Amino acid sequence: MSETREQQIDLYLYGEMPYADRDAFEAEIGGSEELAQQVETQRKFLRAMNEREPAEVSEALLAECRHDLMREIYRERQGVPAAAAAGPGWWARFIEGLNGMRVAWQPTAAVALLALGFWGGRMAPGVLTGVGGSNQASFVGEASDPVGGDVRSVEFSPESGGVEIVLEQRRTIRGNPDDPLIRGLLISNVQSPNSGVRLETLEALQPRTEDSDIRTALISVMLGDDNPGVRLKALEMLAAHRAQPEVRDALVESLRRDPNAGMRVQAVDLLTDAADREMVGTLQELVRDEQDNYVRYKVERLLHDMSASVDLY
Amino acid sequence: MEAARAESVGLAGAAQDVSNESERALIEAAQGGDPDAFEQLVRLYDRSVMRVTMNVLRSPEDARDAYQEAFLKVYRKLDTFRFQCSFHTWLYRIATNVCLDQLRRKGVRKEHTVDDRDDEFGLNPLQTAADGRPESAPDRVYEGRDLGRRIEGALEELSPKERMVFELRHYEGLRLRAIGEIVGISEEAAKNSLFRATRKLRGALGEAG
Repeated sequence: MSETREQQIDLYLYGEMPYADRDAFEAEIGGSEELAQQVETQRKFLRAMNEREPAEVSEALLAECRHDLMREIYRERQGVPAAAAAGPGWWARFIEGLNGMRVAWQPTAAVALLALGFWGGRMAPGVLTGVGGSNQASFVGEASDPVGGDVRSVEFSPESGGVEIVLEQRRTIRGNPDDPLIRGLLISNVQSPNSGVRLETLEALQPRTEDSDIRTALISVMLGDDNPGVRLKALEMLAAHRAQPEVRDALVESLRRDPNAGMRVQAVDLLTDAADREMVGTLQELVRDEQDNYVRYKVERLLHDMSASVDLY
Repeated sequence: MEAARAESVGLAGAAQDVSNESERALIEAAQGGDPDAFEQLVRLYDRSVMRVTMNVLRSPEDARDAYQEAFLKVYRKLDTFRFQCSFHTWLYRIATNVCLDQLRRKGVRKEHTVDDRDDEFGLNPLQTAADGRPESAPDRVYEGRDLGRRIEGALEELSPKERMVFELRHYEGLRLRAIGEIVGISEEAAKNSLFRATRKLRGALGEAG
């Protein structure tokens, strides 16, 4: 096969060939068995590349990365280089200074420190915690500063005696699902660890399946979610797009590997309306390998409707 | 992200500008020093950035380093972002550069230019070697249980740029024009990198073509 021919096939299969060239190329494929075979071989190769184990981006890993990043940014904002942050703080230097005093002065300094603490507590009750009445913590800053949320990490520095607490705040975001921010959050949320949340997210995305990114997310849910109810919901949402090649391929994939027979039945039902000659080989393999009688029967009927042989030769 | 991608391939329009308003507001707030706005931007895009870094670098530790380095660069350079391209493209450009640097540091094959492709094709053992393995028959070659590992090995044989282009096209589904913008090359060069990558991969996986 010539280099130009290989490039044409790559462009064609990746959907990068201009429409005008595409029609001519498809006509050429139709007229040449050799070319059709070359395209099929390359298609198999590209599909095989999907067998690579995809990288898992877990919520835990992302949370850790975000934490590390935001901590670093916090340090930058405070003008504290990472190395300096690990060095002795003002308290450590103060104690060190006390140790260096002549012994005779040390009791005096200790009394002065006690007095300073007492005075500070009286003069700045809002700054310190648990003095007198309330046991609730209050914080330096504006009284209206609403500081709250789940503590994500606490880091104590023995050298400085300081502590850094990273809080994860809950936020409510309201808006139109077409807003890019909300849309992005919804798409990423189809991977939520909570299956109820995943279902609700799919509901919110229901009217927006025209969007190719949303369809891609739905395909990934249909093929990868461990909850059959969620997979089924994604499949139902993709039903209207079953004629799209990527959706059709995903339905075939679901039919091949979904452990739930109900899902496989739904997939074959949708494929009935989106039959494509390219599926014949896979469907014949399914007839041979499918363990569930009803699913096998449905696939046989689909092949029959396509005027294709049930047997694999 | 659809909007951002569309813009990155030159389809920006008035309606899209409106739909990008909230992202723009976030970016402007982050440029003004609002850390919450920056964190929201990170949350909006970091999953896809992490996925690319994990796929390209294939090591969670390296991917974490790349994530950190990329977003710190974004934070430090944010005030230079002038909305001349989509934020998505700009962010991906920084992240892919960080990954490319890491790959180069790790000594993954030398970079190739468009000019040296003929020589390279002529000498590339992956492409020309006769494959006598029994599994090299076209229909059986992709069925081995160790296919995933072989794919990994074959991907590692690509130059960093070829690998990045292949990752973004094949696994991320980005258009070649957008990939060109992200990697900092022309669409034609991205196309050539993709061809070289698929050719080498076919050779490495035993497909004579």
